Amino acid sequence: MHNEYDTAIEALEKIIQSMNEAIKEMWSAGYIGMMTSIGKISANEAIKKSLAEDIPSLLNDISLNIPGMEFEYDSQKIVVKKCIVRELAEKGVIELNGLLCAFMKGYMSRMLENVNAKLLNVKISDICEITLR
Amino acid sequence: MSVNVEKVEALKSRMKILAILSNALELLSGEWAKTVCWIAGKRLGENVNVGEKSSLEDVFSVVSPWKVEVFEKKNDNEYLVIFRECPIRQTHYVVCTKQGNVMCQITHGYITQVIAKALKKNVKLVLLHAGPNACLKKVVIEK
Repeated sequence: MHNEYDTAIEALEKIIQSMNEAIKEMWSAGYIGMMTSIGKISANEAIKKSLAEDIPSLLNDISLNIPGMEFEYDSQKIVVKKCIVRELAEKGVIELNGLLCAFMKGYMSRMLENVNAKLLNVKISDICEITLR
Repeated sequence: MSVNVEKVEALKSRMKILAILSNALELLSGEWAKTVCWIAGKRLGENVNVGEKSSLEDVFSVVSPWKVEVFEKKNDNEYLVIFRECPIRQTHYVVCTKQGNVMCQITHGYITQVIAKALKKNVKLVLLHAGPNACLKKVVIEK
């Protein structure tokens, strides 16, 4: 049943879509690098509030900071099981591997550095995989 | 998980994404961020099927989920309006960002465009007060 939550969700998705388009138009080329840097800046702020000392608790912190994210950790690999960016991309609100994916990449890499893990490779697809060094 | 809890989570995640975008814009574009947000809101307003309307009250009936009321008619061209419900204000409170800032320009652009489209006149929106439950703004309709 369509209720006021659905109306608000739809409105926010339209706003996100419009913002995404406006930003891309303004920055044209080079926005990917910019968004990665901003992801790192945001992560620096998040690190100040985080007490995580290992990867599982760090991933838990990320899920709390950015609702709609779920991870599965397996020694050298992090599987992004649920991702708000992918969810929005599937709905056609934004594009996969665009502005927000670049932000997440920067954010994750800086957050992982905090627990001495280095991001080696990110595979963006139906289920994203982050390989650690 | 009940349906509403799931929807609240979905809502929160989208609010966070919106905050990420506006924060990114502000960091890189400075004062230009307001203009970009205004343009984003204006484009949103362009897509609203509003038709021709004769009064502001009629216009405000089609701007859901925003809930806007005319509070006082100053004169033929100036109105004080109250924004009772606003997804941007709710976003400010959920993600702890400052009200009346860059993101509010999305609402300004959107509402201005919808009014302009319905009344076929240029419109200016001025923020008078930004409160936790409602915002007071002035609508100036050009002659």
